[in-house]
Amino acid sequence: MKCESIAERMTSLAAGTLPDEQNIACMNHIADCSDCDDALQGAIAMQTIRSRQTEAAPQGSFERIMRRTFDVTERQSSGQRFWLGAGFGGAIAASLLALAFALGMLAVPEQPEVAEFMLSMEESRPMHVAIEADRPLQDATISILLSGDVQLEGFGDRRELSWTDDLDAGVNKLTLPLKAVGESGGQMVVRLSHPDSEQLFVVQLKTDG
Amino acid sequence: METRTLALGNDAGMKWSRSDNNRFTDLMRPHFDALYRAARRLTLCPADAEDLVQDVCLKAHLHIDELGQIEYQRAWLLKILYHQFIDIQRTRERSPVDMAETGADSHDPEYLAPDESRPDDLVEREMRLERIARAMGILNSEASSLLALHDIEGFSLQELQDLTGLPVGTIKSRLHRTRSKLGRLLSNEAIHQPVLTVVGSKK
Repeated sequence: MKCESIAERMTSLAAGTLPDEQNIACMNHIADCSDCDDALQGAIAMQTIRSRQTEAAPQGSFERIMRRTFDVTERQSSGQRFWLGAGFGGAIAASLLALAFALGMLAVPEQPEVAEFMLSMEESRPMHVAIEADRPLQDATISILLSGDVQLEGFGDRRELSWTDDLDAGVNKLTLPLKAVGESGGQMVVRLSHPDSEQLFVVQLKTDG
Repeated sequence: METRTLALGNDAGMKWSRSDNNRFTDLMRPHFDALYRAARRLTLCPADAEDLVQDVCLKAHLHIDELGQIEYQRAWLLKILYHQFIDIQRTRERSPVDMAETGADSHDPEYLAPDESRPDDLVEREMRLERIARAMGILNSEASSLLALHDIEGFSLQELQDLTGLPVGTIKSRLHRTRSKLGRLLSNEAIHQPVLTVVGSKK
């Protein structure tokens, strides 16, 4: 037998599951091959770990670990950008349109990202705007400008909303309940600005009747 | 869904939430028990296993988009786990601070896995596990985790090829080489010496 053949059988050899004939052939080779002998010791070590009895994860440990993960990731600050995106309903991740935005670039993009969103005259629909920040951002200003036959539920005829808030590291999602009040649709502009930079996100609002 | 209300003057009703957290939870749930069991096989007490899985989750969370797209999620997560474990061993090996400083005696039977065997056997087994862990910490992380995925977790050569993109022949030779190195390390007397314990700080 050659070293390659021994190597292929090493796991079974260490586990003691090789047929006798092969086992003897392997051990004969190993007796004269220090490299394969070392490899067998390594394989037996792995087998030691593999054969260790384990118990199932304690109840509640998954939730506990998830909670800690989110706590830590929200506190972590790294990177230098955030992006905006919009999606419908729960399908944010799949439909998200992202904008890379480098802090420190004091410029408004020439062509803001444009997305489409379908509204209904029968009911308000939640539009999610996701803002991801790679680090916590203090005093970011979020402005929403509406035009056309659309309304932000709960805000009557207001066409512009603007406020300042801190963004957490990670995805910050803003839910905007929108409703069509006419058939011609409209437009919504989301503007995210920070002392050093600004980002625009345009959503064409259409009406499905 | 986790939300927090956004302050907006006198207008209420807008919400922030963290959709990625829900997605991450859904991605991790099917693999959690396998991760915990793998961690438990490597560590001497449940708390260490939980810490190891916690580290994996933190690393995986940084790559949530990648995780959502890859085919072999479990292998990918286990690879992170073994990497992390080996890195911890390496750090511990370089550090003069022993676990004894934390107050946890790793040879205390209360910290050992449940077993019908006599405590003496358990202690010997756990000391061997500790030596193996230390030896793994000396090996290259990538090679060592590849070996663990194959020899401990039972992933086939084909699955490892899909995971790493390496040719099967390369994987075979790396596995053999890593086993040999591990065996040589375990036969080295130095690996059988206890880790240093700090009794006072000297600079």
